[in-house]
Amino acid sequence: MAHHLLEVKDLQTGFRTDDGIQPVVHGVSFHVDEGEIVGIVGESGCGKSVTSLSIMRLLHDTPGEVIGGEILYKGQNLLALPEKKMMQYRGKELSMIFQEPMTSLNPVLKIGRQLRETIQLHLNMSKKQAHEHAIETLKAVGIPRADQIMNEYPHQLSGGMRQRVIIGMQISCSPSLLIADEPTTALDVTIQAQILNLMKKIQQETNMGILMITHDLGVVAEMCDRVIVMYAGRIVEEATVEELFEKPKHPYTQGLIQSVPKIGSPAKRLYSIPGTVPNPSNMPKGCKFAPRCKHVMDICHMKEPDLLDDNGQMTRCWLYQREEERGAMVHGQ
Amino acid sequence: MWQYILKRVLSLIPLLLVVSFVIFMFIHLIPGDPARLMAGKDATYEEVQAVRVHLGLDKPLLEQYVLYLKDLLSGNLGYSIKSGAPVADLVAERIWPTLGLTFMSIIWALIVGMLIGVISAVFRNKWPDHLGMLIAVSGISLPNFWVGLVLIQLFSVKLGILPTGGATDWKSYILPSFALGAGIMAMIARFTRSSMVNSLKQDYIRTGRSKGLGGRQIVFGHALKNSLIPVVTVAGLQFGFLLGGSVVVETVFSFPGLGRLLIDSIQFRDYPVVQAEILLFSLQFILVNMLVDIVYSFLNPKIRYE
Amino acid sequence: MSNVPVETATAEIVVNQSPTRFQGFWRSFRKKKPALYSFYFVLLLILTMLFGPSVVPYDPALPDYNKVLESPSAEHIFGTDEYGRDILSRLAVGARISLSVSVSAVLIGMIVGTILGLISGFFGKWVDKAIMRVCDVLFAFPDLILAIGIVAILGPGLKNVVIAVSFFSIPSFARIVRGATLEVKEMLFVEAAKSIGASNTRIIWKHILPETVPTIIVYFTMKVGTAILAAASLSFLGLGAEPSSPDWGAMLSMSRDYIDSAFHLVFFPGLIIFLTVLAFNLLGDGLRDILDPKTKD
Repeated sequence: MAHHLLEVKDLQTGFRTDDGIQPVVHGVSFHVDEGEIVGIVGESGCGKSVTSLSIMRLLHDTPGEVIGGEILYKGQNLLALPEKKMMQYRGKELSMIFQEPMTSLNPVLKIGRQLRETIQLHLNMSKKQAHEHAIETLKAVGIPRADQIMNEYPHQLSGGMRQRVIIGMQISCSPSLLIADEPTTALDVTIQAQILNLMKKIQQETNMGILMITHDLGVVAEMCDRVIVMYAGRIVEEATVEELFEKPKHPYTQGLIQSVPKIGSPAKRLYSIPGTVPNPSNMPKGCKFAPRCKHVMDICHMKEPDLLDDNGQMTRCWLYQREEERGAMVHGQ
Repeated sequence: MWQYILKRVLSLIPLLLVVSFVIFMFIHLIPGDPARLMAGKDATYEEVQAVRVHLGLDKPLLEQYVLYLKDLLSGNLGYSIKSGAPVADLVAERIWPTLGLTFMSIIWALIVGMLIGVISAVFRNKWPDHLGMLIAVSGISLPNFWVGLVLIQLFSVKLGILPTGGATDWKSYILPSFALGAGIMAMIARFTRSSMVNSLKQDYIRTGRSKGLGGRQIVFGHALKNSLIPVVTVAGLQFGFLLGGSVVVETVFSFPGLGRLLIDSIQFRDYPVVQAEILLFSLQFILVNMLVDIVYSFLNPKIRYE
Repeated sequence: MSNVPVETATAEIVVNQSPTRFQGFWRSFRKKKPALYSFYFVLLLILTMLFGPSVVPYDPALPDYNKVLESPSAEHIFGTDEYGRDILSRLAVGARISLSVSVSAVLIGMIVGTILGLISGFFGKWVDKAIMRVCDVLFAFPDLILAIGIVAILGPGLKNVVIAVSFFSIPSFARIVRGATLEVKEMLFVEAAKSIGASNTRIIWKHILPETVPTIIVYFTMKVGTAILAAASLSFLGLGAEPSSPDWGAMLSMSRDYIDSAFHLVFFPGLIIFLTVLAFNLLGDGLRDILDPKTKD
């Protein structure tokens, strides 16, 4: 049976606190296939970054901890791997780029050393070969005078250049999956477009899968094939990018789309969703979005709806649940 | 880079001028007539007058200071009241044991301090960290003269394996350098730990992990170099602590160095020697801090490439 | 990460709602065991300072030539000295000398340093430059060497030890307070106060000083430890307290001659100095973690 490139099954991640473990990701399931760009969108604190760190198993420097679920990479459960084996996967099979290009490179080591280190770690190459390969990679990510840059320090490069270097570093060993956590948020708008184009180009050339974590629907529209919308640690909607923008179903998704300014539409006040994301220690009982939802019903406060599949577009909202179940719930109470 | 070093060296000149002026004023700040102080208690009026003229104490203050600077530059530090010998000679024979002692102390303090600091940071909030930081806070709180006395009791009186004092051979340096280095070792351990903890929180550490580096490569290949840069600076600042401590430790161990000479000279009211000593101690401190800044600029690429 | 500020703001409201500021402080302080026990130890020392002389079992000054250099026993738990005086009693009485010298020295250093730091940080420009240059000159002398130099000028004695120790505390307080002032100055409410026309003195006194108080308290506690060590060192070198007085440093200085015959004479005074300094340092660490967390690590 053919496996998905990445399949996350019922992932649960929590933060250790003085009063025990506080869950922040509640049973998230999705998959990414080869050659596919999947976006995860949501406000900060919705659990999207924690999800990506859980996949990379990079939570050990945070209070976070995976509590349950499976993360299957080409059918292999990453959560079951010993740390040694996982280290061999990181950078080689799946790698990650982060939001802050300014601080994500080690300031006291030359660019060349940081690239070579990655290459020699995963590919059986001599120092000289690794050096050549590093220069090739830098050229591939559009860095001019690559052989000079090898001898420079990160602070000598601009933010956009550094993000290119990081992308180059993370794809230098041809991983099959790239996780990008807000890769363009810290960059200027013009540079953002360049970096996104670069990622798209690399993805088309290598056919790798990309998981794109972002809060920016513009990035999603530009890049993604499929989109997952997260709210308060849960997936509330999943759809192809066309479906999502044409007929968003979940009121939260509708709100997000309305709050994006549209070129050409008359300049009105921008819509913003009232209220704020609930505090993890003080979650509402039923649907987590209910306190901010304009379609809220009684049932929304009682029970959390399931994620319902409607021809591939999945929504977690009582508005779309089967009539009989909704009724049964109300009468059953 | 060379420009930076040149700038740093030149910036010392005003500081050295002010510091030398403060030290020059030392003799004049002591209550009483400087000429009489210099001539000694039993001097007659004529002798005092002779000293006044000889030392130029009858000239205006500013002129005296210029003379003082000229003397300093030609290596003349004045003459001891007690023995009449040139202060430069007295100091010269004492400076090597003190330099040896401070050097030994800082070397072991740096090695042990950094080791404890790194271990504590890597095992943050686990028992090696608690133990390391307990050692460190104790080291900072220990009176070095007491450490010296306890060491003498243990290794000289009880076990009889190390000498109680003097500076005859390398063995006589062991106990004093331990007593002197304990405090600075503790400070270096604390700074190394906090600096290392801070480095381990940085984004580039996460990048390193995400590309598959292991714990050892992260700590030694990436975090350590970043952490040592601030530690070097701090070690320089704490060098003053070492110089002050050497006075006390040398007294405990009857160690023939600058520090003990300072205390002896104060007791004998041998002011020219006291004055020269304070100058030497400050000079060492200032020079070490300059060296540290230069080393820092070598370690930190941001400064190196400016 | 658009609404991070909003989230933290709500979180803070939740935390700050119920207890008063002091109750909140005490609750976190109680969890820090080393700092808590150090606090109890410091309290004990303060009680000893206040009531020590009236509760000690023996007259600390009265010689008893039948009991010279006795080792610790049930009767004299820290032993007796070369005149047969009870060491525990002398240490208890000496607490008053040793602690008041160091605390008053740091207090003077703190007041002068804080004023200089506030002025320097608030007014900036040439005032700041002038004050910081003076501090640089003071920093060019190693602490203890500066103190020894001052005592060499003024002559030995406790009063001069206080002056000498306060002298080297001034520049470090000035620097720390200046740093804190610069930070607070940039904060919005000072801007607001300025715009409604408050005077400089009022801004410094009402807005900036209160914000720097936690930093000052933390630093004060830590500096007391340093000052106790410095004062004891000066007394040990014969530049401080009278050799016959029960000052801790002076007691150690006198007992050196008996190191091979009566080690308890050396051991207990040094131990008390060590424990006292340790207590102040641990207390300072604990206070810093709570009051001034950004300077932590």
